[in-house]
Amino acid sequence: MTLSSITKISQDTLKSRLVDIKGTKAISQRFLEAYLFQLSTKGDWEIFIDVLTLTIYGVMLFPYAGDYIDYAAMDIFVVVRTRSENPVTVFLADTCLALYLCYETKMRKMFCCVHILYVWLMARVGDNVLGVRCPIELVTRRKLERRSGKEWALYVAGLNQKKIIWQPSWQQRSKIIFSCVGFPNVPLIGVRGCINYNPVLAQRQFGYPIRGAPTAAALVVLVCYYRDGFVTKT
Amino acid sequence: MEVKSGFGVERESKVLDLKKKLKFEPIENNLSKLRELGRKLKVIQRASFRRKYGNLLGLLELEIEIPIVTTLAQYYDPYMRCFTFQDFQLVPTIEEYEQIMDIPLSVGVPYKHLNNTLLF
Repeated sequence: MTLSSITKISQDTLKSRLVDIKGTKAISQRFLEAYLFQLSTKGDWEIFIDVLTLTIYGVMLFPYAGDYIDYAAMDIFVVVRTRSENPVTVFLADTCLALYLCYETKMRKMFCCVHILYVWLMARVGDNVLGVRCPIELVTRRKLERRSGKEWALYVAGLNQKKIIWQPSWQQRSKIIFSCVGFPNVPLIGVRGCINYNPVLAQRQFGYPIRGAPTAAALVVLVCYYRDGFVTKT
Repeated sequence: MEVKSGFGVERESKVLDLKKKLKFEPIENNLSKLRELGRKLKVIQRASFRRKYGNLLGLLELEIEIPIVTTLAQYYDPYMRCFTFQDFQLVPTIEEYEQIMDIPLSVGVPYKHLNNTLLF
């Protein structure tokens, strides 16, 4: 199955809609939103859900090309839809890679999904609501007071271990993936490159005490990009 | 006690200096139209959406405070790949992302980038 057979947009229309953005081919958010509106008036909900997901992938989860859905976002969407590959590791890989590149290249743009990162932090601070199994629901339920940008920055800067919920009620797993065969830690494959991460440092989040300092081998950085030139200073 | 609180203040100011190092800009797209479109789905359709792609609609509806994320990014340690705060570390993990997105890891194999997907 191709993108055009999933979205029921003809190949010619799709190709004519492709624009060059940051060195990759992309489709605009506006075009897909107009198409979604058409689908909703026709009541074609099956296709609507697929196209909505494609758009969310492009502009929210993998927003590298701004308000365009770029090739990487289309690729991961098609793969998830047709080969039922699991995208969870990709979201994490993208976050780690984007943050890593911010420091490594002094690039200021964070091209990862900030929404997931936001939920990730906010579901671990503040009041623990018992019985909530979904981190997004927990964060949505809490009504945040209005604060200015500077006040929020101070709030994050002032976080300490007493303010962290170490055992949130939404956390259902007690066993974690610690390392992969042949690796001292866990390598992640993303849409723009690969990066490894260190679950050894996360033991406390899952209720285990940290036993001694991690070995240097466990912390070695592994990073690679699929495409030259995608790392540009902006 | 006084000595201790003095120490605390000093540490705090040290931490607050840190955040001036790098200013981050997340990519912020206008999601209001997508939210509107998402609300057209009925309860049953939303449920089947969630089963198929995870809790994307919940994430879409959530209004986030951008300064929280940009400040968080200032505490990232690129070599350890974790966030280091005053007295603790936090690592975003696969298991937490699994819970946030509501996509069980047991479903399917992890994405492999093959670069040969036929898109058109």
